[in-house]
Amino acid sequence: MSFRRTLAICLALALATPAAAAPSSQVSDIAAGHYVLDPRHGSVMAKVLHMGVSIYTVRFDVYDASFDWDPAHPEATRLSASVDPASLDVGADYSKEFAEEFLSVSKFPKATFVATTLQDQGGGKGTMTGDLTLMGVTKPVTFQVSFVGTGHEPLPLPFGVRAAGFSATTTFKRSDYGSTYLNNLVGDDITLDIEAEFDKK
Amino acid sequence: MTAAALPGAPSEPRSTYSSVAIAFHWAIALLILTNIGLAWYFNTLKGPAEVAPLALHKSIGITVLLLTLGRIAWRLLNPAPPLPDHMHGWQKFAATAVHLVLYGLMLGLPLSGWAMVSSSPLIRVHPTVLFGVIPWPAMPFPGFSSDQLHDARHLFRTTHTLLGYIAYATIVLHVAAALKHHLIDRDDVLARMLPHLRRKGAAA
Repeated sequence: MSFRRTLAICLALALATPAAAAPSSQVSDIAAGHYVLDPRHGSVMAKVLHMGVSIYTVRFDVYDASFDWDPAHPEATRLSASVDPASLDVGADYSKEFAEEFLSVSKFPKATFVATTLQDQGGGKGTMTGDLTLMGVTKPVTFQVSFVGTGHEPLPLPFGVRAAGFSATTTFKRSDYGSTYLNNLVGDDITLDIEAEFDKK
Repeated sequence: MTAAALPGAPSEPRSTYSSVAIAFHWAIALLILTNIGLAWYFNTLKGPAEVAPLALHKSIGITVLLLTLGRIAWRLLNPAPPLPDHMHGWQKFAATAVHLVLYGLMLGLPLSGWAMVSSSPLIRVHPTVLFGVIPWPAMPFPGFSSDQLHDARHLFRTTHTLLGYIAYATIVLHVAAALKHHLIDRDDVLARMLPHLRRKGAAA
């Protein structure tokens, strides 16, 4: 390692340390760059009405998403994301079987979302419209998005990472995508609640 | 009560079914008709309302399965009374064939229904409990992947529905033939299963 490179790393560490101590909730503090979803700090949750009396939450454990951030043009951001529907976790030992029955995962092994339009509503909130492809059917959905925070994370070592977090939520009808299993007992309206921490690469 | 069937019994065959066979026949007939009615009923319901009649349908179906096993064992030990001599060979063949199909349906319908619910992931959420009291096991499907189970469930479901339609046709044939014997041929074929209908002095 050259002397100049070592110096650069030491400088970077020195600069990064104070940033880690003070995360920001200002959208303007999101650094420019390419952001990729941290596979261990996302939550893709779906809520559905059960028997007409309660809401049940399931989650998907395998997902991926990325976007390029230009602070000068936040509305030009085009997120693309994918979820492995076979990673459905219903909190019980029949998750695999439910994934097959509800989402035909052996026939449709991937669900994707590609953003097409962003609207800034100010205060770190906005809407993100795009195409949701589920069970081979593509339809537009609009997420309500809110920015949570950005800052330097000390982990992973040695340098940590610059991260930014968002929440997103939308509602759609599963029957629009051909999911009708148990539609006598389990609701048609699905609320997707997503929590995502993106790392700047 | 079954002297006619035992070795060394009088050689003249009995002219009616044994009372045990009659009890099996009418108990199972009543359960089958109830289950057909329940199937029509819960298919008109939407939502959680269909759960209870469907559970009763399962309980009755398994009861039919168990009764049918007992009935077959009884039948093997106690032969049916003979059909009247005036019947043509093809008529006797048709009667026997319809009876065999009915036995097949009394086994096949509950077995396909049991397989259908056993291959559903819901069986793990809500196991079958006969009449809400007796736990009934699920058929095991070892080594089946979730998509193979899905395909299997659809196959069992189609089979169950198809057997249901075959049952309608077979029951209509069976009842129509019994009524034809009683009302047109005026013989005692129906009386073999309903002894109080026996005509005085009529040939068996």
